[in-house]
Amino acid sequence: MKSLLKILRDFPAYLWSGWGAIASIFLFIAAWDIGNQVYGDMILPSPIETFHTLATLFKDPDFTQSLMITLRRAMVGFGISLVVGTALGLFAGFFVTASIVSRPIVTILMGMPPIAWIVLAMIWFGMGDATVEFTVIVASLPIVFVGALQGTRTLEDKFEEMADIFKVPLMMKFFDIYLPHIFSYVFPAWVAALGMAWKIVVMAELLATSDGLGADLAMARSQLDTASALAIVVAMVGLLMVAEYIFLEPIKREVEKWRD
Amino acid sequence: MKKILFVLSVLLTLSTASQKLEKIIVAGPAANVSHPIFKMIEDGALKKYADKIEFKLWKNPDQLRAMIINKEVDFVAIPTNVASILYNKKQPIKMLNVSVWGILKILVRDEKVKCLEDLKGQELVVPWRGDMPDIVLRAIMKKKGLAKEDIKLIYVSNPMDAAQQLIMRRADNILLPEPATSMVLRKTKSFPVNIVAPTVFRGIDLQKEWGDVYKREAKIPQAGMAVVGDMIEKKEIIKAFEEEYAKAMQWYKTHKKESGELVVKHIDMFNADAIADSIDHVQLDVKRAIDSQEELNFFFDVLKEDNPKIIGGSVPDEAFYIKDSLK
Amino acid sequence: MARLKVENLSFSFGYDTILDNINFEINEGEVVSIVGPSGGGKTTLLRLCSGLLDRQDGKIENSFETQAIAFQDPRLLPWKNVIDNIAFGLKAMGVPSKEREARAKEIALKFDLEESDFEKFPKELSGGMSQRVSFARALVTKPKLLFLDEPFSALDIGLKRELQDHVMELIDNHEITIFFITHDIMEAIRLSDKILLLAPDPGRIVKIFEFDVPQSKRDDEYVYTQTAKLLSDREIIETFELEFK
Repeated sequence: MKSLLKILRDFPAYLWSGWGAIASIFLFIAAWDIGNQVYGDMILPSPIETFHTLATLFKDPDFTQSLMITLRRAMVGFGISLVVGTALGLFAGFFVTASIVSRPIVTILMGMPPIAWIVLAMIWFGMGDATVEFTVIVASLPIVFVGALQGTRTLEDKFEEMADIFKVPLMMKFFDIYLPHIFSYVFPAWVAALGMAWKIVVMAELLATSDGLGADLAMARSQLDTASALAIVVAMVGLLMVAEYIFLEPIKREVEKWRD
Repeated sequence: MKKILFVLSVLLTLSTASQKLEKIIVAGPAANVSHPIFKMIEDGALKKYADKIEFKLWKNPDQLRAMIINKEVDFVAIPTNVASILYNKKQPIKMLNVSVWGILKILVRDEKVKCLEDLKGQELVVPWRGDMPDIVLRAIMKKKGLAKEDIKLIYVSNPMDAAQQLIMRRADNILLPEPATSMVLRKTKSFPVNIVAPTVFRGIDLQKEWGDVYKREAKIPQAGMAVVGDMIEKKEIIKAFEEEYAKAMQWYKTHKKESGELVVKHIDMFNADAIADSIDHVQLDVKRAIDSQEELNFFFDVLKEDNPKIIGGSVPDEAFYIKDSLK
Repeated sequence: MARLKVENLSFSFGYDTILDNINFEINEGEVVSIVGPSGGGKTTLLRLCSGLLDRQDGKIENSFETQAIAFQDPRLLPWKNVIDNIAFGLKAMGVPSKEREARAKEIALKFDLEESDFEKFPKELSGGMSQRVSFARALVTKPKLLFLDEPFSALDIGLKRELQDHVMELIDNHEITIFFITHDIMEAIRLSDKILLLAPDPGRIVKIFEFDVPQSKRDDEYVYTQTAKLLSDREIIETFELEFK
C-alpha cells in the first residue's frame, strides 16, 4: 500500500517528465505531414485529415461499439493469459520437473507466428470471439508464464534463511520477500503481454471476424478508404499508449528503481 | 514552306499514331471478367499497337490501388463500385464497358429452396461484410420486407471461408460469387471432399431476386473494363481494345472447355472444369459503359442508400464514362 | 538463565557425515567462536542451532527468546530502502511502524550512516555500507542470541574494527550472547570467551580454548601474544594444515 501511495505521489513529476516523449511524438507527426505532402492523400492522408476523421468516427455509435467489442475481446484474452499464465508459471517454478517439461512447449508456442494460429483457430472455432480470444491467449500466455516461472525459480534461499533466523512469520515472508521478487519479474511480463494482446486482437479481427476494430479496418481497406483506415490505426495506437503510459509505466518505474 | 511544314506534321502525327508501345498492361481479378483477356493475349490482339499484352493479377484492393496510383496499368478489369470509388478519389480512371451482369448465387443444401423467402428462419453465411454482395443482399431483403431476424446473416471474411463452413456442415446456405460457386460444387462432388460434404445446389439467383423486387431486368452491372491513366487519351487503342475484348468474350462464352483450360494456364488456383461450368451461370454480356448509365446509376443509388462509402461518396458524373472516341 | 546447549549432535547429508558427536554450551552473556577450515561443518552447525535445519541425532536446547544474524554477505532485501531493511527484524517482532522507523534511524546514525542514505536502495550502497545496514538490522532488535557467520571477512580493517567495537560495547555491558563463526583467529581472540576448534571430515570439536581476561581489558599485545600461542598449538596446526618455517 505504501508503494501505491508513492506511485500516486510521484505521478505529477512523472507526467512532467513526459515532455521529452511528447516532443518526439510531435516530431513524428511532422514527418507524417511531410510524407503526406510528398505522396498525396490516396497513399498517406495528412495528420489533420486523419484526426478529423477520427473525431468523426468517435461520434459514430457504430465505431464506439466496435471499439467496445475489440476492447472486450482484448481484456478477456489478456485477463485469462494473466491469471492462468501467472498461476501456471508460479506452479512450474516450484516444481523443477514441471519447469523442465514446460520449456519445449513454451518454445513451440512462442515460436509459432500468431497468424498461423489464427488460421487454425478459424477452422476450430469459426468466426467470432472465440477465435480472437484463443489467438490472444496463445500469444500472450507464454509470455506471462515465463515471467512468473523465472520469478519463482530465481527466488533465493539466502533471503529466506535470513528471514527464518529472524523468525519472520509466514505472511510477512510472503508479502515482504516472495511477492516483491516475483512481482518484479511478472509485472514486465504482463506489460509485454498486454502489448502483444492488443496487436493480436486487431490482426485476428482483420482476418477472422465481422465486427470490431479489425473488421472495420478490413472494410476501410476494401473501400479504399485510407483516411478511415489510418484513423482506426491511430485510435488503436492511442489506446495502447494511454494504457501503457498512464497506468503501467508508473508502476514499472517504481519497480525499476531498486532493480539492478 | 507551309507545304513542307504541313507534310512534316502529318508524318509526325502518323508516326506517333503508329508508334508501337512496348506492352499494354491489363490488370484484373481472378474472376470471369478477366478471362477474355487471356484469349486476347493468346491471339496477339492489339499487336498493331503494342508488342504484347501483359496481364497482372490483383488479389485485393490494396494491390489494385497501388497499381493505379503507380500508373502500372493501362486497362483494368474491376468491379463497378470500386471504379466509382477511385474515380471519386480523383484517380485517372474511366469506365469503358460492363461485361458481368450476374455472379451472385446462394448455394443451399435443401433443393427446395428457390427464393429468399424460403430461407426464412435459417442462417445464411455471407462473405465480405459491408461489401457489394452484402449490400445487394440486404437491399433486396429490405425491399421484400424481410426483417433482419427472418434470415440470420453470419459474416465471414472471404468466400473460401464461407465454402469451408458449408463443406464442414457448419452452414446450410452460403452466398457466393461465381466462379467460386462452381468451384465449390465441383469440390463437393469430388473425392475426398464428397465423403464429408453434403449435397449442395445452386438454390437462389440473386439477380433474379433483384429483378423481381425492383421490377427490372434480372441483371446487376457488377464488373467490367476500365481505362487508366495516360491510356485514357489514346482513343484509337481504346476502341481497338473494346472490339477485341468483345470478340474474346464471345469466344469465351462459346468455347467453354477450351476457356477453362486457357484460364487455368494463367491462373493456377482454378480448376478448368469449374471455370467451364461457371460460364453457364454467369451473365456475361459486353455492353459499353456509357450505354449502361441507367443501370449503373440505379445500382449505385441502391448501394449509396446503404453506405455511400462503397461507391466513394456519390454517384459518378458523366465524365466517369469513356465516350465515343473518334468523333 | 538462557543457554544454547548442544549434546551428542551428529548430522549427515546422504553418506557424508558432516558433524560427529558435537558437545558444547553457550551460556547467557558468553561469546563463543567456532573456528576451523572451510567446509568443516561450521555453517551446518549454525543452521542446526538457529533452527534452519532439523536435527537428526542428539539434542539441541536453545532457550534464548530472540535471535538475530549477520552473514558474510549483507542479504539486504533489494526492494526495501535502508531504513526498512534495518527495521525488518523489528517488523517481524510486531513493533509498530512509527517506533520501528525511529529506532532504525537511531541505530543507523550510530553505525555511521547519514540521513541522505536512509531512502537509498541496496543497489545504491557500497559493500561497506551494506554490511553496516546488515549489522544494524541484527542489533536493533536487541537480540538475546546473535549469530555471526563470518560477517567481517569481506571488510577492510577500518570498518572491521568499527563494527567489532559496536559488538564489543554490547559484550562489555553483558547485553548479548554470541555464536561466532570465523576463520580469523585474531578476531576470535579479540572477541571470544571460548574458541571451539572444529576439525573437518567428520566435523568434530578437537579442542576448546578459554580466555579469562575480559574483552575490554584485552589490548593489542594480549591479542598478538595469544594469537602466536594458538598458531603454534599442535591441534591448530594439524587442523588448518599449517606449515611453519
